[in-house]
Amino acid sequence: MINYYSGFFISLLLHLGLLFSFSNYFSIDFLSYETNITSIPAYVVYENNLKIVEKPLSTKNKYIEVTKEKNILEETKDVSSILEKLELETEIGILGISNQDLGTDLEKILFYSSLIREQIMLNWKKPKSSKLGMQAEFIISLVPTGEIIEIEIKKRSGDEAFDRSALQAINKVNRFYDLQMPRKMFDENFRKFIVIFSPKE
Amino acid sequence: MNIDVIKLIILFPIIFLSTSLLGQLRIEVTEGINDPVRIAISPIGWNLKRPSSLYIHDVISSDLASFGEFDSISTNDMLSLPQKENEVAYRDWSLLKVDYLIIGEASKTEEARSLEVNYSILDVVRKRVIHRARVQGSEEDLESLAHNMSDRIYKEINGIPGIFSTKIAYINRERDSEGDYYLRFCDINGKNDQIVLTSKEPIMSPDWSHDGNNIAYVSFEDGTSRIYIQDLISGKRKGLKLENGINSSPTWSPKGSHLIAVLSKAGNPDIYKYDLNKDRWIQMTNHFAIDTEPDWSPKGDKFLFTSNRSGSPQIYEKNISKNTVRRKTFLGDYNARARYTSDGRSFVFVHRKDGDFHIAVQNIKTGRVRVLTNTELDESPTISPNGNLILYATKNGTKDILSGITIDGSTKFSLPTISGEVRDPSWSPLFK
Repeated sequence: MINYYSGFFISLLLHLGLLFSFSNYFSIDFLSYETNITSIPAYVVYENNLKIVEKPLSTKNKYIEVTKEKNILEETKDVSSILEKLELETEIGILGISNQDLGTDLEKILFYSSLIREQIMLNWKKPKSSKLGMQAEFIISLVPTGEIIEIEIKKRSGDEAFDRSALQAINKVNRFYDLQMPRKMFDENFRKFIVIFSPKE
Repeated sequence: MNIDVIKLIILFPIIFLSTSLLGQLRIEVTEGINDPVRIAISPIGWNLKRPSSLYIHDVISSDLASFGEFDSISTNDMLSLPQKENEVAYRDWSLLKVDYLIIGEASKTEEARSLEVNYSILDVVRKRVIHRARVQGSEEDLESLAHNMSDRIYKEINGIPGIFSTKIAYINRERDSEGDYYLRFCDINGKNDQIVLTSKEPIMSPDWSHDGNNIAYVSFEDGTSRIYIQDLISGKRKGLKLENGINSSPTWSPKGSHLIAVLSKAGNPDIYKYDLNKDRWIQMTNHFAIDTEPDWSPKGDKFLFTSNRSGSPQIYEKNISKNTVRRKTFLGDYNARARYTSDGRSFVFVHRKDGDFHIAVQNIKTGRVRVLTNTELDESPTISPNGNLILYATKNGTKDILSGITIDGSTKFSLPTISGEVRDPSWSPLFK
């Protein structure tokens, strides 16, 4: 009897296998009827499937009122100290001190210009708004000791943060070092010069 | 020829032009240093009866120091603690090499439970007040008021908007629980986490609308992928017209009247536009290859998408009015999931290099590519609304985390979030 049962069972398996493979081959979908019930939304089948939180974003208004935004951006240094500086100037008398390694006057001017550029650069913290094409120009007045006595705005970049960062950089320098040059050269080139801030990136 | 003569020939015109045309020497400064701006936030005065639940200056101080752009000095190092402008001794602050000082006072307003903070930003180097402002808010929500102040201060000093009040939406699945999927959002420091949606079925690709009030996402709650939009203020939600096949990757149009998404109703995935007023889909790309992951440009005239029409996934840009498609990426054999920066000049994307997935940024005009990250499985980048930060999903060992980097690649940060799987971050816009 046992053999009958097992024979029946094996033959059932084989027949079912045939049935499945044929239905699959001819793409008869009577056995895959379950997939057709798509019209019942999932949340009906499973309870608490979805939880929508209402009003998660509170919009409490913060009223911001800029009462005063004072930013004149015009610069003059404390005038009282200028007179002292002028006196110092004659005493120190930079005349005659020359750097022998440098050749022509033009080369000297370029050398001192690069010194000035470097000293400003080391104090300039570019703001995030700085972009290629922005340009701010300042006229800087020096006394022969290298001290800055006046900063004048010649051209604004249009970006306040940028202009301010440039002004901070010049102000932080306060005094340019190593500008030992003949008086004539100083008077002609460095007493008053223009510094342009223009980021390359 | 003598070298000096050559030098002269080169140098002379420069000096001649600069001195003769303008009569003055012109020195051009093109570079600066990358040091953080040194800032001091003096403890904000508190003129209210009830004690303060948190220190406003602490929040501002840690906000500003978050991404390496500011270096805020601790209260312990301060030589004086001014609250009013006439109490400020500039010498105290220039000794500490401080660039900017913030002082202020909180006081009660006529409205119940509300307060205002009057504050000033002082330029220590130039010894002057550069900004005075007043912020009003609720006494219970001092933290958001402080974030708001951080935004204003950041804008004043750095020239671009601060993002300390913005939020980050993301998808989360706690492995230990029954495996529910959550759509959540939190502050950019990971605090104040809130759940928007919980579902037994997957949720994907959240995207904030440009006004910040709505969020679009894909949900599998109906057994198939469907795009939903949800109003975050009223909690109301709407499913977009369901089409056969894939419905995925929604992103909002700048004006919020349309969405752009991927449908596969025509057999293979293409980009479609959805008109929210008329409730209908309009086909935007038609190609036998896979077109997916669209992103609308900030002006709304173009969109980026990923396509394998050249054989490997690459990023393409479609000009909507001219109806032209142009390939944008050429480096490597896998570039995908592009997102425009807020100025529309660059895009951030996932780039495969030596088998690892990295976040990279490409300038649209010049085509210059910079790979920003060096981790292995970086995906789904999202950009802060001021265009300065990128947040992306990555793995720390086997753990999913949200990690971030500044767009210049200089500073990394991570978003501490709750446990479990974390993915698909989406940065909110600036809330008005």
